[in-house]
Amino acid sequence: MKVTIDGVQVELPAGTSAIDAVFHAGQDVPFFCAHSYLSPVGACRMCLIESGSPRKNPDGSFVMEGEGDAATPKIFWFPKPMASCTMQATEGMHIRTAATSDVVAKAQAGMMEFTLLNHPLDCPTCDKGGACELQDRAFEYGYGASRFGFDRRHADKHYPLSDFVILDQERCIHCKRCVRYFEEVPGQEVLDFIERGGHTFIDTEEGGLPTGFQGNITDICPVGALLDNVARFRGRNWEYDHTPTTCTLCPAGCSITADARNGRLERVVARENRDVNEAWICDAGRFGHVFASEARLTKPLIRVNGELVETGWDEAIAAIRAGLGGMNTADLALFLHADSTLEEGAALEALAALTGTNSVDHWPRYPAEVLSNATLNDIATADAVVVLGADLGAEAPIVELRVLEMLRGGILPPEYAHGTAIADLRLVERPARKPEKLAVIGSASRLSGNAGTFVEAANVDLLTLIRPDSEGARAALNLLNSAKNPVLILGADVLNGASAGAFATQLSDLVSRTGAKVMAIPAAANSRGLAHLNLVPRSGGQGYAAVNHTRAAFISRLDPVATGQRPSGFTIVHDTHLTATAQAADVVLPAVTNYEKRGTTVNVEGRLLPLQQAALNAGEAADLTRTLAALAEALGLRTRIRGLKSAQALLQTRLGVDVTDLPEAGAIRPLGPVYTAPTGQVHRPQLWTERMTLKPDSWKATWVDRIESLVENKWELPMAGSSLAGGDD
Amino acid sequence: MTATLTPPKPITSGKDPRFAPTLYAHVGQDQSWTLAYYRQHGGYQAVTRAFAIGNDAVIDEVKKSGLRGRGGAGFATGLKWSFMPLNDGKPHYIICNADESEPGSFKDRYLLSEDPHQLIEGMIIAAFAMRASVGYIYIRGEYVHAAERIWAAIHEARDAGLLGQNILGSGFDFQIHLHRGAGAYICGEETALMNSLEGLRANPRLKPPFPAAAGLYGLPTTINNVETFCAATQILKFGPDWHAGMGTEKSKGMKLFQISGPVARPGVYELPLGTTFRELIFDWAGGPLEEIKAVIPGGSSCPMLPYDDKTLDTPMDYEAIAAAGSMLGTGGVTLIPKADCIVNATWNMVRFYAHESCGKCTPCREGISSWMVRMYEKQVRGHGQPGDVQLILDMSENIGGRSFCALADACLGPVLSSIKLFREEYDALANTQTPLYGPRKRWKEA
Amino acid sequence: MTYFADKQPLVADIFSRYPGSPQGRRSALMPLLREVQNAHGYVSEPQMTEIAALCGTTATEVRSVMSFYSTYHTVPTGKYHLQVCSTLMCSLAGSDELWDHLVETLDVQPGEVSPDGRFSVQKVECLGSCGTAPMMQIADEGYYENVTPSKCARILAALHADAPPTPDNLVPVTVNAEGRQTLANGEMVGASIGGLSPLTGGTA
Repeated sequence: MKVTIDGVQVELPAGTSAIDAVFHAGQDVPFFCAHSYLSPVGACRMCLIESGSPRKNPDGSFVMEGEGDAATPKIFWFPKPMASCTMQATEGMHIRTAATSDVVAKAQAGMMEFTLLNHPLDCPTCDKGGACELQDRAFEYGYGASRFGFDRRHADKHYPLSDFVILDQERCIHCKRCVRYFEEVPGQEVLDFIERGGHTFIDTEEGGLPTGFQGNITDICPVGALLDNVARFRGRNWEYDHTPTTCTLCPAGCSITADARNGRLERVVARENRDVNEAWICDAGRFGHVFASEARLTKPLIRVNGELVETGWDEAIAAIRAGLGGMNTADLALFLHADSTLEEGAALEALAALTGTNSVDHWPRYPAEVLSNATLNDIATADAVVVLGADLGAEAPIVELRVLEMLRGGILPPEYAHGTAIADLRLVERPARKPEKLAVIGSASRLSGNAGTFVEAANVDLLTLIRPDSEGARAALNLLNSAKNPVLILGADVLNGASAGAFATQLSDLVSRTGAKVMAIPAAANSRGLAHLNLVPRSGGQGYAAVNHTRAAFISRLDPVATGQRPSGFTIVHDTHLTATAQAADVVLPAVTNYEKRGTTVNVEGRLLPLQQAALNAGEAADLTRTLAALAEALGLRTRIRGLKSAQALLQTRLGVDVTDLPEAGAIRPLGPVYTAPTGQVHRPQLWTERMTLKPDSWKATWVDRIESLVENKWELPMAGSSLAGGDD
Repeated sequence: MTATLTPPKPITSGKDPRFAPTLYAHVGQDQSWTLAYYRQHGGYQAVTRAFAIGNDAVIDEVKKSGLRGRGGAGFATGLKWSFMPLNDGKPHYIICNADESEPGSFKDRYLLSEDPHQLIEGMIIAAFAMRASVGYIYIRGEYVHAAERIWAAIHEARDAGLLGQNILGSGFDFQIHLHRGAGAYICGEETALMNSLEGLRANPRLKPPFPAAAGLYGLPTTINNVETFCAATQILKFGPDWHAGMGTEKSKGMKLFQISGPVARPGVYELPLGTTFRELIFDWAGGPLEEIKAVIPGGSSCPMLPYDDKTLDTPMDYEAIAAAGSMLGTGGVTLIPKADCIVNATWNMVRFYAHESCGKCTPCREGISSWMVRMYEKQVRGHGQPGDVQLILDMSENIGGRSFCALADACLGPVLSSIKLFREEYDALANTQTPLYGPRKRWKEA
Repeated sequence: MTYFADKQPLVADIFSRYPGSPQGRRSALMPLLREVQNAHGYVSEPQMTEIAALCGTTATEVRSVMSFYSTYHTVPTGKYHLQVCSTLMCSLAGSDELWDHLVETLDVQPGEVSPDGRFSVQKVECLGSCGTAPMMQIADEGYYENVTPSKCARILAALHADAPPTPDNLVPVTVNAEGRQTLANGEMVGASIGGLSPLTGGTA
């Protein structure tokens, strides 16, 4: 299909919207209501264009203009400008944008004047300033002045819709993105317009927004009406250091941007990744970052006279050497958190080879290798999904959104020269959902409310599905059997009981009978990646469950004391915070959070995703790779892995992947065999942890308290009195 | 009354002896709303005939009759009916748009309350033609009396086997339900009406898909005005040639014209299309009671026309009124007296559209509902400034044709036409803050 | 007790008008609101929640839909909720003065209820009674048409006495047995009168 935009002819697939034709051709139109992952509605009327098409004679030939060889099909122009986001481009269509049409330029300037009519223009105090679509577009397309001589609409400017999202009703330009988002993506009717005409405003009657995916509305609001309350007033957009990285709170591996200012992580926003999280992230990923800038360990601690005291790395290394004095290096167990990067895992594997220890483990993980070959796009485009023993909201929330996407048709937006389609005309408002395509077996969860079949069961294993003893389970099995592209999602309740023997046989049997793809949700962000390294207890060694019985242990970012264990030997803790385990440790080494790391993680699909280092102030904290190099030094060993580059080189030889050339959106690569071992304990996934919530002693609470106390104590601004102290000279 | 031959000369005047009211023939008669009365007067014969000739023949007859939608847009009814898919295996819906809200229109209210069976019969015919199994009558919430009559008539018809399974032994099943609106002019827009019927905010929907492809509940749907369905009943009763024998070349049949404002006999008159304004205003409505300066030809959104000989001699049909710069609309004619300030009168209409804007799109929500209405209030309250009229015109240019649906354009009908015709009144207010025609007492005994 | 708890047949009847799908269930929203409002004069928040549950949606959606339409009320209305049409055709017949008169004599502003609980007032848009203007409507009861000052006084007096007059259903023009259009009083109009009248009163 050939379409001509401002004289530039481009070739486009049928079904392309006019707005995407314009952007594909490298031209520009302003828009506010259109959004790549939401239905086009044509409400803001900014994306006006002039358009015309050729017409055919009754004999099928085109109506021509011009003479002889110079004749071209005559273009019949629409008499009025059209909204390009809701119009389909057609063969031979011509489009004029403001660049070549005065009519369009005036129409857009006039529309901008209307859009700004009731907008408060409080940009200097608005968090959106500097990254505001309205601000940018007003500058590019507006008149630069308003002829509206009346009072603007006044409404609630500080309306907390929840603890996380604050609404300024005056700034709203009624693009309806937030309303459509809730209805179309998580399928929650919790926000809508109230009143009509010029009185229309956004509100909820639910007493707050549901936690889960609410934060996304702060990303998609084209103005400063819906703002991230956790990041409110923490910085202007141009002051933030924006670091594109990957969220590692769960195995979904969402692409995010970490915004830091003055060394603090102030805000996390979603970054588009068409294959993983599209444009959405969960609330934990967005708002749960506060721990990264609160109460961080910035220096090593060593125990002196029973107390932990701050010290330097050299002293800490000396303390470790002294503490382990005379002990065989093979007696030092090495445990790391399973959200550590592949590079860190490789470094630890290498160190374990040097020390000769058999007690190596990563946690959390499940005891057996489980076939897992479905991608998130496979889920979104499946015609049936069965969720077995998973609470996706706690294990991998984005998987839940992709299942919901499947229920409303699983339409993946096409890609153009400018990226994802801006207006996908196949998406419709209030899409019909097909709950019958989803069966959930397990505990009640948010997702089970959307399932056509829900079997509530406390103890779930594969047999619940394979040998169904209830009507619901039979229906679920039937769903898998009758679908063309079914996906089976397995969660913690099943995977904790997985084994190499019967379980694997049952699963492969089920898969071969139903043709289902499987997605086993890993226990932690990088459990799937670290499983490809030998980071499990070897013969004669202790696993993490036996941390109490080790003679000495190095524990990176795990907190066994918090779960009731108590390492009795010499304990070296590598962590970001002074956890209960750190408080009981002999030596504490400061760690960096995953926001501050460079490295690679592997998500639920087996997709390798890059981590980048946000500019956070973490003092002398170090990632695991460098910490292990220091530990090796303390042990009197010499490891080749002393930093990121050497770890990545090792990964190249160990796993056969070059993680240095990963595309920004990541890539699925084969990683070779998997190492398994019994875990000796059960993993209970929990996404939100206490440290992710704003604490009373955090900056915000402190300042609020301080201001309140000033007010209570009738504090007054110091003013120059009639006689100034200090004399006249 | 039955005319079987095509008249040699089309009927374009209510005074033509060949013309007799049909749509409105029983309005106002005692018990006219009952099934017994309706049957006594030839009721439910048209539907019997429809069943006899078959559904495709019904659509052909409606096409041949030249009937065009009576709700305002004037789209060919037969053609619209033929857009419905045939054997697609899906349920089809028809909807009667009884959300009569256009200021100056009040014809449907009498049809609904006085002759409900005529409508029900028309809907059965339409449903049969379009293979619809369910019909909804979307009546505006304020029409309480009419809703009660329709409700009763539906139940009477059900009890008599005229609705339900195997109607009159035809094998055709059809049911009608009444759905009451709740006060929103935008529900007159067909897709907004469908949203309202689905229990949603009545925002208009994107087209395409058009209702015939994906309408109510996403299924093929056709919406027609009350008068259109009633006309279908008469067409099936008297034949397409009879209908095509009335009116002008492209505007066929009879129309319910309404006249309001200062005339001797305001009300609804059934006249052939092509009847002149002069005939309606003088011969039927008894002439104006005071000096008139403007005529709104078809409901408030139709641009007003000057009250002069040219307008009075304009035939009231779709083409002639369009050629005069306005629209036939719903046929609701309103006369505006000379002694009333045109800016004030237009403010009243702008305020109406501002109040009824659904708020979905920017030019209507901000342009009409927030700004235009205040520009008018400013003038009428005596705070006008030089340049205001030019600003209104420029705003109108930025609104016109830019909005999602036709409501914003409808508001511009009275705005632009009144400025064009009575610029001196606008300028006087803007420049001197004094209206040329001041407020006066209008509430008085009959 | 919730409003619809003891009205299951009514609820079932309302739902029977629409398809059994989730979309069809949602269609019952407006009829259910109408039921509550007719009974109470307005819809309270608990009732919004109740209707939301019946229709398979949320109170937010119910409030959103309710607030869109002008005849649903979230605040109590008087025993007689007087709605005066204020659109042009009634305005030309004096509805602005009728409105001012009501607000003054009843001493009630829109959104309020008169101290005796009897009256509340609302300006509404065109109610399709342009031929019998000015007009007013009492809540969901019916129209009073051709409301002249004296008729207004009679209506108000009757309402004060809690004896509301029967609503009007005036049909200004009818068709007689000969198929000729006549006024309600039998006066023949149109073709029955004679030849085309000359244009009187001059042109604008």
